Amino acid sequence: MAAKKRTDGATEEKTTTSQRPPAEIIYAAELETLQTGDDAPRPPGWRMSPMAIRAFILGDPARGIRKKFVGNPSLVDRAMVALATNRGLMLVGEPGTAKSLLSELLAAAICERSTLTIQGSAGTTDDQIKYSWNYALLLAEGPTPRALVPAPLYTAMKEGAIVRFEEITRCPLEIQDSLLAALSDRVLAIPEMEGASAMLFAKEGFNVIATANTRDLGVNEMSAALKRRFNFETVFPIPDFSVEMDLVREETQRLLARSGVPSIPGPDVLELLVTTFRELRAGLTTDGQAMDRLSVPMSTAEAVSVAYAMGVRSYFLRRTEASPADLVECLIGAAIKTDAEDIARLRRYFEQRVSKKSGAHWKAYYEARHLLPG
Amino acid sequence: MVGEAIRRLRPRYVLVEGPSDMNERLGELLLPHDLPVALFTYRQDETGAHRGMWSPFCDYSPEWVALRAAVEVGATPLFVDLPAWHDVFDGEENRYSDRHVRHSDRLGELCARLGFEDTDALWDHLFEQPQDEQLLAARLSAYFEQLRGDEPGGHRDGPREDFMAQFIAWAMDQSNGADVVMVCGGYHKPALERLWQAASKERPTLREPENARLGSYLVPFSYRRLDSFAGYASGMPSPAFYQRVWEEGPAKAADAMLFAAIRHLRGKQQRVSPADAIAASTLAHGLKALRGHEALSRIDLLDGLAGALVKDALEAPLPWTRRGTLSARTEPLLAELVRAFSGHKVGVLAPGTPQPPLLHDAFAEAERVHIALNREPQRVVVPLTSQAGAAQSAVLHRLRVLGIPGFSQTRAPSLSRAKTELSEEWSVQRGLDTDPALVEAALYGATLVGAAAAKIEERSRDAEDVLSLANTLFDAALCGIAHLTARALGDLARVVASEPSFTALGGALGKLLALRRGEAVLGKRGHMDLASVLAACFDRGLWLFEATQGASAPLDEGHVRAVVALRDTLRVGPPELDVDPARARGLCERRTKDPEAPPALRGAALGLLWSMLDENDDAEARQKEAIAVLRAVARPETFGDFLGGLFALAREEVVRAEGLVGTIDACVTGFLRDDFLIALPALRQAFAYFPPRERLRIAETILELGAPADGSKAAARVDPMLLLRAPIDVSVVERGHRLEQAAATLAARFGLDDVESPPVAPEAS
Repeated sequence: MAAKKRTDGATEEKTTTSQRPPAEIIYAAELETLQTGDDAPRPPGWRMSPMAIRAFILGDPARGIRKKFVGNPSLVDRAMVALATNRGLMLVGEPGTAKSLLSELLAAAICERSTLTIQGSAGTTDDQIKYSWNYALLLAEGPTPRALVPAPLYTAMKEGAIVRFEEITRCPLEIQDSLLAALSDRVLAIPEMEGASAMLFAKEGFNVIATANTRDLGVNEMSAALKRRFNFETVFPIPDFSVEMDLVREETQRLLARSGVPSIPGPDVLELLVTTFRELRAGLTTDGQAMDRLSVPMSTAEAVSVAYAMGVRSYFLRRTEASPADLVECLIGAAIKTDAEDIARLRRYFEQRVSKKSGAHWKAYYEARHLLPG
Repeated sequence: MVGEAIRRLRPRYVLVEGPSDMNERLGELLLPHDLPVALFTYRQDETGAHRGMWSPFCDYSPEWVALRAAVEVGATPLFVDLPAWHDVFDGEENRYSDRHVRHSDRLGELCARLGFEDTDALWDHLFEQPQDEQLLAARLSAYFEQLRGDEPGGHRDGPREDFMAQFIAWAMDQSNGADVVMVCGGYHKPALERLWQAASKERPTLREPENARLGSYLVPFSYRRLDSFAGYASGMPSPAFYQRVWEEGPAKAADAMLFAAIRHLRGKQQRVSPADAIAASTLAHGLKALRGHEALSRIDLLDGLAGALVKDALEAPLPWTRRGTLSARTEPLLAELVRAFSGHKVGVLAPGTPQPPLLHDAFAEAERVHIALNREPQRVVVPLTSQAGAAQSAVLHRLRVLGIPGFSQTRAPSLSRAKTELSEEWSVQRGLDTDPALVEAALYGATLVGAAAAKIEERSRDAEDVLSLANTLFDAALCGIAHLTARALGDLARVVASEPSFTALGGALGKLLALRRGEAVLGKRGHMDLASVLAACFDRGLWLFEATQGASAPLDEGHVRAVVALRDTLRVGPPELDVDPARARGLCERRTKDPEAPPALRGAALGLLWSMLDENDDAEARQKEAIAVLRAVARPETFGDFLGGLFALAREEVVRAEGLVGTIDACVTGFLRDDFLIALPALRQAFAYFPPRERLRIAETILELGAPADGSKAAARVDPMLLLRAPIDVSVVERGHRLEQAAATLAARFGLDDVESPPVAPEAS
C-alpha cells in the first residue's frame, strides 16, 4: 500500500502545471492500452471490464502496466464485485494503508473520473454532497435546473460515475445518512423543483466508494441502516518486509528529489526505520517476541514521512548522511507525536528490544536513546 | 476420478499411499465405518520418546475411494508406503499433510502471477471446477510436474519413494500383464514414474525397530480436526464443504453450503437478514464470474459471505487469505463462518473394530506403579519425595488431565513455607464410565503419556493469556512431559510481554514460583529453564504494577496477590534470576507516594519495600517513612484498603513495629463516628490478614499504649481477649440478625434487594 498521495515520477514532468494530477491523467496511457482490446464482459456503465481493472491496479508486466497497489489481490476482486452490485464500497483500515489510493484507482478505472470527491469533515454539509443553488439565478428564475449548482453526488448520479467519499466517519451522523436514499433507491430527491426534475434517478454505473480510518471516530458510530448498504473491506498494512522496504525507499527518494535533496538515507538507517515501524505496529519483534503496541498508527506512509524528514534534516542542517541518532529524533514528532504513554512504550522498546539486537547500526540506534524526551 | 479409473481398468492390484504394515489388517479398515476415521500409529522408544501419526480418511479421500473401488472390482488393495513408525516421519503429525505445496517457491510464484493469496485458492481455481475429466487429468499432471520439477526426494521423501517404487515393480511383476493402479500424492508421481522401472522386483520388507513399542489402530476422527484452520497439520481446509461437493456436486453444494453457513451463524445468535443472504449470494456469484469459475468455489463463497456480513473494520486479515490456524484477533463472526465450513461431524467406528491400546496401556501403567483399581472409590496417599510416589503421581495426573472419570485429586501438596506437606491425596476407582472414556480419549494417543501430552497440547492451542499457559505448564510438569513444558515455557515467554491483566500475571508468576520450589524439593520431573520466563514475568509485572491507576479503587485481591508474587520472585533474586531489585524498589517508592495509585497497591508497595529490608537499610528510617505515608492516607474511604495491601506483604514487620500500630490506632481514634463506620469494613478485611495470635499481640500493644502515662496500677487491666471477641450476649447478636433480615425483606419488597447489609459486630479499636 503506497504512501497516501502517490504519483508517477515519469509522467510528472509532462504535467507540471498541476502539483498532483488525478490518476486518470497520470495513467492515461496505461488506461488506453488496457481499453483497447478489452472485450471481456463489463458491468453496465463501466468503461472497462473488471479483468482489465484488476490488471490496471495490480499490474501486468507483460503489457507494461505498473503495479500500483501492494496488497491482497482478492481484496481488489471483492471491491470490484461490490461496486458492480447495488451496494456501496467501504474501505476501512489504519491511516496510511492506501485506502484513498485504492479508491482513486478504482474510480479512475471504472469511470475515468476520480475527482468526484467529497472530503468528510466535521464541517461537511448537505450542500457539499448533493447540490446547492446559485442564489442570483434562484431569485431571478426560481428553482430551475440552471440555478442548481451540482455537488459530487448529484453529478455522479446524473452521469453514472463513481463518487468518492473520503473519511466518511468524520462527518456528523445525519450528514452520513443523507447517502441512504442514493444508495438504496438510487434516487436523489430535489424537493425544490417540480415535475420530472424533482427526482434524479441514478444512471447505470453510479456507486459510492467511502473510506474511513479505524483511528478516528470509527465505523461503530455509523447507523446500522447505512452500514447495511455498504460492503466493508479492511485494508491491512503491508505484510512483507522487503516489499515495504522497497516502497519506503522509492517514495522517500521521490519526495527528497522534489525537495532538492540528492541522496536518501542509507540502507542501514532505512532498515532500522522499517523494522521499528513494523515491530511497533504488530506488537511483535521480528524474532517473535511480544511487546506493547503503540496507540498511534505506524503506517508505511508515516514511515515515509519520517524518512523524508530525516533526509531533509541531515542534508540541509547537518550536511552529512542520516544517522541512527537522526532517526531517533525524527521518530518523535513525525511519528509518535506527544502521547506520554507512547513515549514510555517507545523508551521501553529501546531498553528491552533494541538493546538485544546485533549489528553496529542497531548499537548506534540504542546509544541514541537518550534523545527521547522525558 | 480415482474410482472411475479403477472401475475402468479393473486392475489386479490397487496400490495406495498408506502404511504398509496395515496390509494384514486392511479388513479392519474396510468395516462399515461412518467416516471420518483415522488410522493412528504410535511408536514409543525405550527412552520414553513418543510420537504418533494420523492417517485420516474421509468419504472423498482418494485413498479411501481407491480402497473401496478395489474391493468392488475384485482387485487386491495394498498400502505401499513406509509404516508410520519409520524415522522418515519423525516430527510429522499427519501422513496426508501437504507440506510440499506450502513450501514450494514455484507455486508461490504461480499464485502471485494468477492473483491468488494461497495455494488452496489456486487449487480450487484450477481443479475443483467442473471440467472434462481428460482435461483435468492433463492439468493435474502439469501442475504436479511444475510443483515437483526434478527436485530430488530428500531425506524424507527419498526412502519413501524408493520403497513405493519397489512395491510397484513387484506388483507389475506379479500381475503378469494385468494393470496395476497406484494412488499417491501428486508430488510423488513424477518421481515414481521415473523410479519403478529400475527398482528391484522383490516385495519390499522392513525390520521393525527393536526396543520400541509400536501399534496402529483406528479411532473416530472429526471434521474439526481435519480442517487445516484448526491446526493439527492437516492439509485440507473446510472439509464440510468438500464433503458436500463430493455428495452433491459443486453446483448444488455451494448453494447448500451458503445456507448451511447462514443457519450456523443464526444459531450462534448472529443477525443475518434475508437481505444479507441475498447480498452474499450475489457477491459470491459476481466473484465467480470475475474469476472465471464455472461453479462457486469455496473462496468465492467465503469472500461473498464476508463481504455481505462484515460490518466493521477487521483486526486480522480474512482467515482464508493465508494458510494456518486462525489468528487470535480474527473477528468472531469470521471464526464461526470458518467453523461452519469445517462442519462438526464426528466419525463412528463400526462395531467389532478392535479396541484402542490406550485402554490397556492405562491399566498397565496403573498396575506398574501399584495403584489398585476397584469398582469402589478408594483413597490413595502419594508421597512425592520417593521415586515410586513420583511415578504414581505422574500416572494419576495424566489420567486426570485426560478427564477420565474415577480419578480425582482430593488434596494437593502444599509447598508454602508455613505448612509443607509433600504428599498428594487421590480418590481412585474404575467406575462404569472409566472404560468408555478411555476409548474416547484414544483419539489423543495410544499410550497414557502420549494421550495426556496431546490433550494438554490441544488445550494450550487456544490459550493466549499467561495464566492459562502457566496452568498448562503446571499440568505438563505434573504429568512429567518434558517436551511440552519446554513448549509452554516458550509460549509463555512469547505472550508475557503483552499480558494486559495484572491479576493473571500475578497468578502465573505464583504458579511458576510454586513450580520452581517444587522442582527444588521434588527433583526434576520435567527439566526446564524457568529463570528466563520468571524474569520476563517479573518485568511485565513491574510494568503493570506501575500502570494500574485509580485513587479510589477498592482492594483487589488479585492485584495484591500479584504484588506478593513479585516480592517472592525478588526474594529468589539475582544471581539465580535476572531481576533488578533496585528497579523494583524505585518503582515501589514511586508507587507508595503516588496519590493516583489505588490505596491497596500503595500499601502493598510500602509493604514490599519494608519486607525486603536488608542489613544496609535503616529500619528505623523506614518505619518513620511508613508512618508518614500512613498519616497521609488516613482517610476513612481508603485507609482500610491501604492497610490491607500493607499487611498482605509485611505482616510480620508490622507486628514488630510498635510505632506503626500506635499510628494506626491514633488515626482510627481520630475518625468521627460516621467516618469510622465507613472505614470499618475495609479495616476488618485488612486485619483478617493476621492470624489470631498476632491479633492478640496487636491488641496488647494497643492496650499498653492506652494505659495511663503515670503507670499507676489503679486502672484495671483489661483482658486483651475482650478486644478480639466482643463481650456481647448471644441474644444481642441474634436480635441484630433478625433486624437485618427484616430490613432485607423490606428492601426486597421495594426491589432494593441488592443493597449491602451493614456490618454488625463492632470491632475493637
